[in-house]
Amino acid sequence: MRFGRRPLFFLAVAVISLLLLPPTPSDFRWVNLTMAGIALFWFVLLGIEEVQGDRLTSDETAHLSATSTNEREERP
Amino acid sequence: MTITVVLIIAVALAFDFFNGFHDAANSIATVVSTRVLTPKQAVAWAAFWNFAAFAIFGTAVAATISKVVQPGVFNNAAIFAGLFGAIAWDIITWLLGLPTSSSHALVGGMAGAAVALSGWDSLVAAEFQKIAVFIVLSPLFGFLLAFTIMTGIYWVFHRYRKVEKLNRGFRRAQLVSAALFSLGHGANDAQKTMGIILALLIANHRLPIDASVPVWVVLAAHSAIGLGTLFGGWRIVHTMGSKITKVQPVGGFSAETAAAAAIMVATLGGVPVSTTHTITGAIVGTGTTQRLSAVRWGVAGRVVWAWVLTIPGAFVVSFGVETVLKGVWK
Repeated sequence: MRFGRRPLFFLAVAVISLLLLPPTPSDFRWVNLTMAGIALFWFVLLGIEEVQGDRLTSDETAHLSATSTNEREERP
Repeated sequence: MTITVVLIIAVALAFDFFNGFHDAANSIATVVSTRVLTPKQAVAWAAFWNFAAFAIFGTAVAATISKVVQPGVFNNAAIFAGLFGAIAWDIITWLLGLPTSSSHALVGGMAGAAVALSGWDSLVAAEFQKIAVFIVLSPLFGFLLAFTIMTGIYWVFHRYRKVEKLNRGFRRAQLVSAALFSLGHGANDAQKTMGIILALLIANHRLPIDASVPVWVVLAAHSAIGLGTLFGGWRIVHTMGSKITKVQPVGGFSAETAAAAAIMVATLGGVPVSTTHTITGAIVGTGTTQRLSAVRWGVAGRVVWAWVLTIPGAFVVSFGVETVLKGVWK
């Protein structure tokens, strides 16, 4: 399974937001937490999309190769 | 008021004017590149909202800027040197066509002058920490909000087949988003100049140390930034509007709305963020909804390098000017 760059990019944004939590003044820490939340949300959604896309691609490949094998077998 | 104070206020307002001139691109790049308004109409629209911001937002950012250096450290020469460094850095980056931050140039400039005058202890670490954290957070916040808004719009309208009608709708909506962004830009950036003028008036014992910003300073700063935007800088429009990623009306709307929301949150909290950083992050966010390769990372990388160099660059120029002035301007 190949994991795309986009989910990882959002994971990196979440990590940066959380790493900056200690130096952020306490009044503004909600900004870091909100950002980390949004970034993780997109990381999970895009990750699921990637995994499903991969599965679909491999299913389609399997289906296509099965079809072509059947076709070859059916040919006289 | 002495002639020196009047002259330095004039230089501060000139910086504000140049800030509007330099950052006009941020407010209008997407409305111009998506052909919602002609460049002339766009700058007039942005300038009006830059000025109108005085009636809506407080002066919390001005207070933060005036506290970057310990009270009592600044004198007229140091404030002049700080402004000189910021203006010089802005002109250099403008000539190179790079959308850097006038705000960070100002912070770097003031820090350089203060260190040359009284050493590193004159800087207020907590205020610098706040500004430094938001150098990183503001573009990422703009990025995330723009990506979220853009994806939300795609999700809501994905079955809608009348693409032309939809584009027309978002072209009109961009007038509102550009106005919101200009409002945020006027509020956050004009207040930085107010902070400098406030520090100058306090240093010259024209105001008590805990004074708030006088109304004439608020009006003068908003007028200067509005006029600067009116004379906008076209070199940077090109970089912002088309070189980083190709912007469609829906993308322009999402980027401006996201950046406006991020800047307004910061302004109300008294954080001097860079409008340039925020809109650049937001434009990258809209490009990323297509795919990461839709963003021209080479150009975005050049912009990031200019960001990294802004505070040290303005710091060095101001440090040099203040070192020279210290011996001459008593």
